[in-house]
Amino acid sequence: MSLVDGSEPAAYAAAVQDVARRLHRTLYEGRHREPVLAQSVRQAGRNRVSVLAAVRVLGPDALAPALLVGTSPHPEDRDVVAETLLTFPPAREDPVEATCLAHAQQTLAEEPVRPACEEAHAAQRSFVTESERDTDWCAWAERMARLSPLAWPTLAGQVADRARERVADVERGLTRSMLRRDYASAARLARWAALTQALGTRSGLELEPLLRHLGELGGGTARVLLDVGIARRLSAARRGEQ
Amino acid sequence: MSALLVSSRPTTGTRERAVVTALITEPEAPVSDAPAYAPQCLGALLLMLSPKLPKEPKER
Repeated sequence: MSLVDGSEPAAYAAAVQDVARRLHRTLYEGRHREPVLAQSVRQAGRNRVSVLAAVRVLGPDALAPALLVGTSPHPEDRDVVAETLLTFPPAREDPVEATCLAHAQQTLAEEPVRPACEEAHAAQRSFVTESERDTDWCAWAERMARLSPLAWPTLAGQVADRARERVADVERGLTRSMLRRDYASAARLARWAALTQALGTRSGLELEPLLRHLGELGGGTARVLLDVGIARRLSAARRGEQ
Repeated sequence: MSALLVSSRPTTGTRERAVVTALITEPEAPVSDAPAYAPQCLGALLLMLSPKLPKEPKER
């Protein structure tokens, strides 16, 4: 990978895909205890900031291997997250989605991992209030898709509660994205669908064939594959396959 | 913090932060085009799959 700092949009987007690819490979091979982020930073050399930006964009998903097995993240990975939040700290003018992801990441970077702090609760409350202004389910689903890195049973809190209440809108949005062949949005909404089902919400949506379709035809980007991989694990956990 | 956190930690400016924010709040993709009907491809495929003409059996 040749990322050159200075052309940030392309370099950061490429770094997101690169870190997502590493995370997906780690999940696929079951190497949940490897410090994926620290290895990425070491190998990035002078493109270190691009990797930190990618960790910030991926939010809690950057620590997916630990989240999936329910352990604390590797200490070196926690350090990378801490450095990320010092380099790209949450700011008042940030959109609420970015703030939510930053505070969720912050709780994971601490040892022991602490439950959501007051800032995380407040950010989620703001997101729920703001997103409720979108009376149109398309706009609401689009916002939920952006927040998909938060779709973890231990992190989503009030946003997960709202997703469970509006599960029909999650599934409408997911179906719409599939029909539009916007596979990135579909994979992100599939994360919320998998989470709501894992939390016991009744649904008529058969997720497994949809995830298989997304995995095989979803455009082949690493981030889509990572989203599909996480959704599959949540779905399998619900069925007691883990 | 481990040695991973070097003292020469880079600082980021408004531009870098804006790029990160744009990636987090990425809008949905534009609608893809429907699969295009390409009859010439279908013709080539049929030719490839069509069986050979039967031959007369050889007389002994």
